[in-house]
Amino acid sequence: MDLVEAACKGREAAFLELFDEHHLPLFRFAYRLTGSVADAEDIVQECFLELLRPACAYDPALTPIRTYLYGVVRNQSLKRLRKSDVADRNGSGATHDRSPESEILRTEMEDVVGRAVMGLPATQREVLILAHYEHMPLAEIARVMDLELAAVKSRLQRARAGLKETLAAYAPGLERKR
Amino acid sequence: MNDTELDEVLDSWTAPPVPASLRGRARAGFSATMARETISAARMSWKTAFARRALKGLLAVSVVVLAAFVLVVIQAVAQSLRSVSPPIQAPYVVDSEFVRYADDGSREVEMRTTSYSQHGNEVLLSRTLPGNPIGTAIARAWDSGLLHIFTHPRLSPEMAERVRAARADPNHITLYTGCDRPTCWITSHYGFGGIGDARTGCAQVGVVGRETILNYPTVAAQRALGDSKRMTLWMAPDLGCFALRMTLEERAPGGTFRLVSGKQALKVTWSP
Repeated sequence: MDLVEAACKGREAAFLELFDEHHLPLFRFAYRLTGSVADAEDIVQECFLELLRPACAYDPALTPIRTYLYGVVRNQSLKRLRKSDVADRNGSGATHDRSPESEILRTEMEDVVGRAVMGLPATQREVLILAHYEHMPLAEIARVMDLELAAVKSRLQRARAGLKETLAAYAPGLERKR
Repeated sequence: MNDTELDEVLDSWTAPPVPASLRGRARAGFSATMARETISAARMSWKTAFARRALKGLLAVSVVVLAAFVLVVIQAVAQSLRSVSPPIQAPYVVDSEFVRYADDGSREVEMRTTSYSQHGNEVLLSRTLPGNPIGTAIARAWDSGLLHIFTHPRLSPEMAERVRAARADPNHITLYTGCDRPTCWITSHYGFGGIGDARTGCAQVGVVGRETILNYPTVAAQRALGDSKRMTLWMAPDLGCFALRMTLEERAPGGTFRLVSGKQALKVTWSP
Protein backbone atom coordinates (compact mmCIF):
# COMPACT_ATOMS: atom_id res chain seq x y z
CA MET A 1 0.00 0.00 0.00
CA ASP A 2 1.47 3.42 -0.91
CA LEU A 3 1.77 6.30 1.52
CA VAL A 4 -1.16 8.27 0.17
CA GLU A 5 -3.48 5.29 0.38
CA ALA A 6 -2.32 4.51 3.89
CA ALA A 7 -2.73 8.14 4.95
CA CYS A 8 -6.24 8.23 3.51
CA LYS A 9 -7.04 5.19 5.65
CA GLY A 10 -6.09 7.16 8.73
CA ARG A 11 -2.48 6.11 9.27
CA GLU A 12 -0.79 9.17 10.69
CA ALA A 13 2.70 7.72 10.30
CA ALA A 14 2.19 7.43 6.55
CA PHE A 15 0.86 10.96 6.38
CA LEU A 16 3.87 12.34 8.26
CA GLU A 17 6.28 10.36 6.12
CA LEU A 18 4.70 11.86 3.04
CA PHE A 19 4.88 15.30 4.61
CA ASP A 20 8.53 14.96 5.61
CA GLU A 21 9.47 13.83 2.14
CA HIS A 22 7.85 16.65 0.20
CA HIS A 23 7.07 19.64 2.38
CA LEU A 24 10.38 21.50 2.09
CA PRO A 25 10.47 22.15 -1.70
CA LEU A 26 6.72 22.78 -1.63
CA PHE A 27 7.15 25.39 1.08
CA ARG A 28 9.93 27.11 -0.89
CA PHE A 29 7.80 27.07 -4.01
CA ALA A 30 4.80 28.48 -2.19
CA TYR A 31 6.89 31.12 -0.50
CA ARG A 32 8.49 32.25 -3.74
CA LEU A 33 5.14 32.41 -5.46
CA THR A 34 3.37 34.33 -2.73
CA GLY A 35 6.26 36.08 -0.99
CA SER A 36 4.64 35.24 2.33
CA VAL A 37 5.79 32.75 4.95
CA ALA A 38 2.34 32.60 6.51
CA ASP A 39 0.67 32.00 3.17
CA ALA A 40 3.26 29.38 2.23
CA GLU A 41 2.64 27.61 5.52
CA ASP A 42 -1.12 27.58 5.00
CA ILE A 43 -0.79 26.44 1.41
CA VAL A 44 1.53 23.55 2.21
CA GLN A 45 -0.68 22.36 5.04
CA GLU A 46 -3.77 22.58 2.87
CA CYS A 47 -1.99 20.81 0.04
CA PHE A 48 -1.33 17.72 2.14
CA LEU A 49 -4.79 17.69 3.71
CA GLU A 50 -6.26 17.88 0.22
CA LEU A 51 -4.96 14.38 -0.36
CA LEU A 52 -7.13 13.00 2.43
CA ARG A 53 -10.44 14.22 1.10
CA PRO A 54 -12.73 11.82 -0.76
CA ALA A 55 -13.05 14.35 -3.59
CA CYS A 56 -9.27 14.37 -4.08
CA ALA A 57 -8.46 13.97 -7.76
CA TYR A 58 -5.05 12.42 -7.21
CA ASP A 59 -4.54 9.29 -9.29
CA PRO A 60 -1.17 7.61 -8.76
CA ALA A 61 -1.51 5.86 -12.10
CA LEU A 62 -1.64 9.17 -13.92
CA THR A 63 0.56 11.55 -11.95
CA PRO A 64 3.55 11.18 -9.64
CA ILE A 65 2.77 12.50 -6.19
CA ARG A 66 5.46 15.20 -6.41
CA THR A 67 3.95 16.62 -9.62
CA TYR A 68 0.48 16.51 -8.13
CA LEU A 69 1.53 18.31 -4.94
CA TYR A 70 3.31 21.04 -6.89
CA GLY A 71 0.17 21.50 -8.93
CA VAL A 72 -1.93 21.92 -5.79
CA VAL A 73 0.54 24.42 -4.32
CA ARG A 74 0.56 26.36 -7.56
CA ASN A 75 -3.22 26.56 -7.71
CA GLN A 76 -3.54 27.53 -4.06
CA SER A 77 -0.86 30.18 -4.45
CA LEU A 78 -2.48 31.71 -7.51
CA LYS A 79 -5.80 31.79 -5.69
CA ARG A 80 -4.24 33.66 -2.80
CA LEU A 81 -2.39 36.03 -5.09
CA ARG A 82 -5.64 36.90 -6.87
CA LYS A 83 -7.25 37.67 -3.52
CA SER A 84 -4.22 39.74 -2.52
CA ASP A 85 -4.43 41.72 -5.74
CA VAL A 86 -8.04 42.57 -4.97
CA ALA A 87 -7.05 43.55 -1.44
CA ASP A 88 -4.24 45.73 -2.82
CA ARG A 89 -6.58 47.47 -5.18
CA ASN A 90 -8.89 48.10 -2.24
CA GLY A 91 -5.94 49.72 -0.41
CA SER A 92 -5.88 47.23 2.40
CA GLY A 93 -2.12 47.33 2.80
CA ALA A 94 0.93 45.32 1.90
CA THR A 95 0.59 42.04 0.10
CA HIS A 96 3.49 40.25 1.63
CA ASP A 97 4.03 39.96 5.29
CA ARG A 98 7.59 40.09 6.36
CA SER A 99 8.52 39.64 9.97
CA PRO A 100 11.04 42.04 11.48
CA GLU A 101 13.45 39.15 11.83
CA SER A 102 13.27 38.21 8.17
CA GLU A 103 13.70 41.84 7.16
CA ILE A 104 16.87 42.10 9.20
CA LEU A 105 18.28 38.93 7.73
CA ARG A 106 17.37 39.83 4.19
CA THR A 107 20.27 41.30 2.33
CA GLU A 108 19.82 44.05 -0.15
CA MET A 109 20.55 41.64 -3.03
CA GLU A 110 18.01 39.15 -1.81
CA ASP A 111 15.46 41.86 -1.53
CA VAL A 112 16.12 43.13 -4.99
CA VAL A 113 16.10 39.70 -6.59
CA GLY A 114 13.00 38.70 -4.69
CA ARG A 115 11.19 41.81 -5.82
CA ALA A 116 12.38 41.29 -9.39
CA VAL A 117 11.08 37.72 -9.46
CA MET A 118 7.85 38.71 -7.80
CA GLY A 119 7.51 41.43 -10.36
CA LEU A 120 7.41 38.96 -13.19
CA PRO A 121 4.06 38.03 -14.70
CA ALA A 122 2.68 35.09 -12.75
CA THR A 123 2.90 32.71 -15.71
CA GLN A 124 6.62 33.42 -16.12
CA ARG A 125 7.31 33.51 -12.40
CA GLU A 126 6.02 29.97 -11.84
CA VAL A 127 8.17 28.54 -14.60
CA LEU A 128 11.27 30.37 -13.44
CA ILE A 129 10.87 29.30 -9.81
CA LEU A 130 10.32 25.66 -10.69
CA ALA A 131 13.13 25.57 -13.20
CA HIS A 132 15.73 27.60 -11.38
CA TYR A 133 15.05 27.17 -7.70
CA GLU A 134 13.51 23.68 -7.67
CA HIS A 135 15.60 22.33 -10.57
CA MET A 136 12.51 20.72 -11.99
CA PRO A 137 12.80 19.31 -15.52
CA LEU A 138 10.89 21.32 -18.10
CA ALA A 139 8.72 18.32 -18.98
CA GLU A 140 7.57 18.02 -15.38
CA ILE A 141 6.93 21.77 -15.19
CA ALA A 142 4.73 21.34 -18.24
CA ARG A 143 2.73 18.68 -16.38
CA VAL A 144 2.43 20.74 -13.20
CA MET A 145 1.22 23.75 -15.13
CA ASP A 146 -0.72 21.75 -17.68
CA LEU A 147 1.14 23.38 -20.55
CA GLU A 148 2.89 22.34 -23.71
CA LEU A 149 6.64 21.95 -23.33
CA ALA A 150 7.22 24.67 -25.93
CA ALA A 151 5.11 27.10 -23.91
CA VAL A 152 7.17 26.33 -20.81
CA LYS A 153 10.41 26.96 -22.67
CA SER A 154 9.06 30.19 -24.11
CA ARG A 155 7.91 31.47 -20.73
CA LEU A 156 11.20 30.57 -19.12
CA GLN A 157 13.14 32.40 -21.82
CA ARG A 158 11.01 35.50 -21.45
CA ALA A 159 11.31 35.38 -17.66
CA ARG A 160 15.07 35.14 -17.79
CA ALA A 161 15.33 37.86 -20.43
CA GLY A 162 13.20 40.14 -18.30
CA LEU A 163 15.25 39.46 -15.20
CA LYS A 164 18.50 40.03 -17.02
CA GLU A 165 17.23 43.45 -17.88
CA THR A 166 15.85 44.20 -14.43
CA LEU A 167 18.85 42.89 -12.56
CA ALA A 168 21.53 44.05 -15.00
CA ALA A 169 22.85 46.49 -12.48
CA TYR A 170 23.43 43.66 -10.04
CA ALA A 171 25.52 41.46 -12.29
CA PRO A 172 28.38 39.97 -10.26
CA GLY A 173 31.00 41.88 -12.19
CA LEU A 174 29.21 45.22 -11.89
CA GLU A 175 28.53 44.64 -8.22
CA ARG A 176 32.21 44.12 -7.56
CA LYS A 177 32.93 47.32 -9.40
CA ARG A 178 30.41 49.22 -7.29
CA MET B 1 24.39 39.86 -18.07
CA ASN B 2 24.83 36.30 -19.25
CA ASP B 3 22.97 33.21 -18.09
CA THR B 4 25.59 32.23 -15.52
CA GLU B 5 25.58 35.69 -13.99
CA LEU B 6 21.80 35.67 -13.85
CA ASP B 7 21.82 32.30 -12.11
CA GLU B 8 24.27 33.64 -9.54
CA VAL B 9 22.10 36.66 -8.86
CA LEU B 10 18.95 34.58 -8.63
CA ASP B 11 20.64 32.24 -6.15
CA SER B 12 21.01 35.08 -3.74
CA TRP B 13 17.25 34.96 -3.13
CA THR B 14 16.93 32.27 -0.53
CA ALA B 15 13.72 30.99 0.97
CA PRO B 16 13.27 31.30 4.72
CA PRO B 17 13.43 28.09 6.78
CA VAL B 18 10.24 26.16 7.19
CA PRO B 19 8.55 27.26 10.40
CA ALA B 20 8.86 24.57 13.04
CA SER B 21 5.13 24.82 13.65
CA LEU B 22 4.24 23.59 10.17
CA ARG B 23 4.65 19.89 10.91
CA GLY B 24 2.54 20.19 14.06
CA ARG B 25 -0.13 22.09 12.17
CA ALA B 26 -0.19 19.47 9.43
CA ARG B 27 -0.47 16.73 12.02
CA ALA B 28 -3.35 18.48 13.79
CA GLY B 29 -4.99 19.06 10.42
CA PHE B 30 -4.66 15.36 9.66
CA SER B 31 -6.47 14.37 12.87
CA ALA B 32 -9.20 16.93 12.33
CA THR B 33 -9.72 15.92 8.73
CA MET B 34 -9.90 12.23 9.53
CA ALA B 35 -12.42 12.87 12.30
CA ARG B 36 -14.51 14.98 9.93
CA GLU B 37 -14.36 12.38 7.19
CA THR B 38 -15.38 9.67 9.66
CA ILE B 39 -18.45 11.66 10.72
CA SER B 40 -19.18 12.41 7.10
CA ALA B 41 -18.90 8.73 6.23
CA ALA B 42 -21.21 7.84 9.11
CA ARG B 43 -23.71 10.39 7.86
CA MET B 44 -23.36 8.97 4.40
CA SER B 45 -24.00 5.49 5.78
CA TRP B 46 -27.16 6.71 7.44
CA LYS B 47 -28.26 8.35 4.21
CA THR B 48 -27.39 5.26 2.24
CA ALA B 49 -29.33 3.05 4.64
CA PHE B 50 -32.31 5.39 4.45
CA ALA B 51 -32.11 5.44 0.66
CA ARG B 52 -31.97 1.66 0.56
CA ARG B 53 -34.99 1.34 2.83
CA ALA B 54 -36.88 3.88 0.75
CA LEU B 55 -35.94 2.03 -2.41
CA LYS B 56 -37.12 -1.28 -0.97
CA GLY B 57 -40.42 0.28 0.07
CA LEU B 58 -40.82 1.83 -3.33
CA LEU B 59 -40.12 -1.48 -5.00
CA ALA B 60 -42.64 -3.28 -2.81
CA VAL B 61 -45.31 -0.68 -3.54
CA SER B 62 -44.49 -0.85 -7.24
CA VAL B 63 -44.85 -4.63 -7.25
CA VAL B 64 -48.22 -4.45 -5.48
CA VAL B 65 -49.46 -1.71 -7.79
CA LEU B 66 -48.24 -3.59 -10.84
CA ALA B 67 -49.84 -6.83 -9.66
CA ALA B 68 -53.12 -5.04 -9.00
CA PHE B 69 -52.95 -3.42 -12.40
CA VAL B 70 -52.29 -6.73 -14.13
CA LEU B 71 -55.19 -8.37 -12.30
CA VAL B 72 -57.55 -5.55 -13.19
CA VAL B 73 -56.50 -5.78 -16.83
CA ILE B 74 -56.90 -9.56 -16.79
CA GLN B 75 -60.34 -9.27 -15.25
CA ALA B 76 -61.38 -6.63 -17.74
CA VAL B 77 -60.12 -8.65 -20.69
CA ALA B 78 -61.69 -11.84 -19.32
CA GLN B 79 -64.99 -10.04 -18.89
CA SER B 80 -64.89 -8.69 -22.42
CA LEU B 81 -63.97 -12.10 -23.82
CA ARG B 82 -66.82 -13.72 -21.94
CA SER B 83 -69.23 -11.19 -23.37
CA VAL B 84 -68.26 -12.11 -26.92
CA SER B 85 -68.06 -15.87 -26.34
CA PRO B 86 -71.12 -17.98 -27.14
CA PRO B 87 -73.35 -18.50 -24.08
CA ILE B 88 -73.09 -21.89 -22.47
CA GLN B 89 -76.32 -23.81 -22.88
CA ALA B 90 -76.41 -25.53 -19.51
CA PRO B 91 -79.89 -26.82 -18.61
CA TYR B 92 -79.19 -26.18 -14.94
CA VAL B 93 -76.45 -24.87 -12.70
CA VAL B 94 -75.55 -25.88 -9.19
CA ASP B 95 -74.08 -23.56 -6.58
CA SER B 96 -71.78 -25.45 -4.26
CA GLU B 97 -69.22 -24.81 -1.58
CA PHE B 98 -65.98 -26.64 -1.05
CA VAL B 99 -65.06 -27.18 2.57
CA ARG B 100 -61.87 -28.23 4.29
CA TYR B 101 -62.03 -29.87 7.71
CA ALA B 102 -59.40 -29.45 10.40
CA ASP B 103 -58.29 -32.19 12.81
CA ASP B 104 -60.62 -30.80 15.46
CA GLY B 105 -63.59 -31.05 13.09
CA SER B 106 -63.91 -27.35 12.41
CA ARG B 107 -64.70 -26.43 8.82
CA GLU B 108 -63.60 -23.69 6.50
CA VAL B 109 -65.18 -22.83 3.17
CA GLU B 110 -62.40 -22.75 0.62
CA MET B 111 -64.34 -22.08 -2.54
CA ARG B 112 -67.82 -21.45 -3.85
CA THR B 113 -68.61 -22.59 -7.34
CA THR B 114 -71.29 -22.52 -9.96
CA SER B 115 -71.12 -25.58 -12.21
CA TYR B 116 -73.05 -28.23 -14.08
CA SER B 117 -72.43 -31.71 -15.46
CA GLN B 118 -71.54 -32.56 -19.01
CA HIS B 119 -70.80 -36.11 -20.14
CA GLY B 120 -70.08 -37.13 -16.58
CA ASN B 121 -67.60 -34.31 -15.92
CA GLU B 122 -68.33 -31.39 -13.67
CA VAL B 123 -67.95 -28.21 -15.66
CA LEU B 124 -67.04 -25.07 -13.78
CA LEU B 125 -68.70 -21.83 -14.76
CA SER B 126 -67.43 -19.53 -12.06
CA ARG B 127 -65.83 -19.64 -8.65
CA THR B 128 -65.01 -17.44 -5.72
CA LEU B 129 -62.44 -17.86 -2.98
CA PRO B 130 -64.01 -16.32 0.15
CA GLY B 131 -61.83 -13.65 1.80
CA ASN B 132 -59.27 -13.91 -0.96
CA PRO B 133 -60.02 -11.39 -3.71
CA ILE B 134 -56.57 -11.71 -5.27
CA GLY B 135 -56.86 -15.50 -5.35
CA THR B 136 -60.34 -15.18 -6.82
CA ALA B 137 -59.07 -12.88 -9.54
CA ILE B 138 -56.22 -15.24 -10.37
CA ALA B 139 -58.53 -18.27 -10.34
CA ARG B 140 -61.02 -16.56 -12.63
CA ALA B 141 -58.25 -15.42 -14.93
CA TRP B 142 -57.01 -19.00 -15.01
CA ASP B 143 -60.49 -20.35 -15.68
CA SER B 144 -61.07 -17.81 -18.42
CA GLY B 145 -57.97 -19.11 -20.10
CA LEU B 146 -56.04 -15.86 -19.93
CA LEU B 147 -53.33 -17.26 -17.72
CA HIS B 148 -53.13 -20.34 -19.90
CA ILE B 149 -51.89 -18.04 -22.63
CA PHE B 150 -48.89 -17.19 -20.46
CA THR B 151 -48.34 -20.49 -18.73
CA HIS B 152 -49.01 -22.73 -21.76
CA PRO B 153 -50.17 -25.81 -19.86
CA ARG B 154 -49.37 -28.84 -21.93
CA LEU B 155 -50.04 -32.48 -21.24
CA SER B 156 -47.41 -34.81 -22.52
CA PRO B 157 -48.78 -37.49 -24.87
CA GLU B 158 -48.16 -40.11 -22.19
CA MET B 159 -50.03 -38.11 -19.56
CA ALA B 160 -52.88 -37.39 -21.97
CA GLU B 161 -53.23 -41.11 -22.64
CA ARG B 162 -53.28 -41.86 -18.92
CA VAL B 163 -56.01 -39.24 -18.39
CA ARG B 164 -58.04 -40.67 -21.25
CA ALA B 165 -57.70 -44.19 -19.88
CA ALA B 166 -58.57 -43.08 -16.36
CA ARG B 167 -61.70 -41.37 -17.57
CA ALA B 168 -62.76 -44.54 -19.32
CA ASP B 169 -62.14 -46.79 -16.33
CA PRO B 170 -65.27 -47.08 -14.20
CA ASN B 171 -63.21 -48.02 -11.16
CA HIS B 172 -60.91 -45.06 -11.37
CA ILE B 173 -61.24 -41.64 -9.90
CA THR B 174 -60.18 -38.87 -12.22
CA LEU B 175 -59.11 -35.74 -10.50
CA TYR B 176 -57.91 -33.18 -12.91
CA THR B 177 -58.11 -29.59 -13.93
CA GLY B 178 -57.32 -27.88 -17.16
CA CYS B 179 -58.84 -26.69 -20.37
CA ASP B 180 -61.67 -28.85 -21.58
CA ARG B 181 -61.97 -27.09 -24.88
CA PRO B 182 -59.56 -25.25 -27.11
CA THR B 183 -60.96 -21.94 -26.00
CA CYS B 184 -60.43 -22.81 -22.34
CA TRP B 185 -63.74 -21.26 -21.38
CA ILE B 186 -64.61 -24.33 -19.40
CA THR B 187 -62.46 -26.01 -16.83
CA SER B 188 -63.14 -29.61 -15.97
CA HIS B 189 -62.67 -30.78 -12.43
CA TYR B 190 -63.10 -34.21 -11.02
CA GLY B 191 -65.33 -37.19 -11.13
CA PHE B 192 -65.32 -40.91 -11.41
CA GLY B 193 -64.22 -42.39 -14.62
CA GLY B 194 -66.96 -43.86 -16.74
CA ILE B 195 -69.66 -41.73 -15.07
CA GLY B 196 -72.17 -40.13 -17.31
CA ASP B 197 -74.78 -42.70 -18.08
CA ALA B 198 -77.72 -41.72 -15.98
CA ARG B 199 -79.77 -44.57 -17.45
CA THR B 200 -77.62 -47.07 -15.57
CA GLY B 201 -77.85 -45.11 -12.32
CA CYS B 202 -74.56 -43.28 -12.68
CA ALA B 203 -72.53 -46.02 -11.03
CA GLN B 204 -72.38 -49.77 -11.40
CA VAL B 205 -69.63 -50.46 -8.89
CA GLY B 206 -68.81 -49.22 -5.46
CA VAL B 207 -72.33 -48.14 -4.59
CA VAL B 208 -72.48 -47.52 -0.85
CA GLY B 209 -75.89 -45.93 -0.46
CA ARG B 210 -78.69 -43.75 -1.73
CA GLU B 211 -79.83 -40.37 -0.41
CA THR B 212 -81.96 -37.42 -1.47
CA ILE B 213 -80.11 -34.14 -1.59
CA LEU B 214 -81.89 -30.84 -2.39
CA ASN B 215 -84.89 -32.94 -3.43
CA TYR B 216 -82.86 -34.93 -5.97
CA PRO B 217 -82.32 -38.67 -5.50
CA THR B 218 -78.65 -39.54 -5.50
CA VAL B 219 -76.60 -42.70 -5.58
CA ALA B 220 -73.46 -42.74 -3.44
CA ALA B 221 -70.45 -44.46 -4.93
CA GLN B 222 -67.08 -44.82 -3.30
CA ARG B 223 -63.62 -45.35 -4.72
CA ALA B 224 -60.29 -45.85 -3.04
CA LEU B 225 -57.72 -43.25 -3.74
CA GLY B 226 -54.52 -45.10 -3.12
CA ASP B 227 -54.21 -46.96 0.19
CA SER B 228 -54.84 -44.05 2.50
CA LYS B 229 -57.71 -42.08 1.01
CA ARG B 230 -61.16 -42.62 -0.35
CA MET B 231 -63.62 -40.49 -2.21
CA THR B 232 -67.39 -40.70 -2.14
CA LEU B 233 -69.68 -39.01 -4.64
CA TRP B 234 -73.44 -38.58 -4.29
CA MET B 235 -74.57 -38.40 -7.90
CA ALA B 236 -77.98 -37.35 -9.08
CA PRO B 237 -79.26 -39.23 -12.19
CA ASP B 238 -81.76 -36.42 -12.80
CA LEU B 239 -78.88 -33.96 -13.12
CA GLY B 240 -76.75 -35.97 -15.54
CA CYS B 241 -74.95 -37.67 -12.66
CA PHE B 242 -73.87 -34.34 -11.19
CA ALA B 243 -72.26 -34.94 -7.77
CA LEU B 244 -74.32 -32.95 -5.29
CA ARG B 245 -72.00 -34.01 -2.51
CA MET B 246 -68.44 -35.20 -2.44
CA THR B 247 -66.27 -36.23 0.46
CA LEU B 248 -62.59 -36.99 0.64
CA GLU B 249 -61.49 -39.01 3.65
CA GLU B 250 -58.11 -39.97 4.92
CA ARG B 251 -57.25 -43.10 6.82
CA ALA B 252 -56.35 -42.37 10.45
CA PRO B 253 -53.74 -44.46 12.37
CA GLY B 254 -56.51 -46.54 13.94
CA GLY B 255 -57.83 -47.58 10.54
CA THR B 256 -60.87 -45.31 10.62
CA PHE B 257 -61.35 -42.58 8.05
CA ARG B 258 -61.35 -38.91 8.88
CA LEU B 259 -63.13 -36.32 6.74
CA VAL B 260 -60.56 -34.07 5.11
CA SER B 261 -62.49 -32.08 2.56
CA GLY B 262 -65.69 -32.13 0.59
CA LYS B 263 -68.22 -30.41 -1.58
CA GLN B 264 -71.80 -29.67 -0.73
CA ALA B 265 -74.41 -28.44 -3.21
CA LEU B 266 -76.35 -25.44 -1.93
CA LYS B 267 -78.80 -24.71 -4.72
CA VAL B 268 -79.89 -26.07 -8.09
CA THR B 269 -81.16 -23.58 -10.62
CA TRP B 270 -82.78 -24.68 -13.87
CA SER B 271 -82.54 -22.56 -16.97
CA PRO B 272 -85.87 -21.07 -18.01
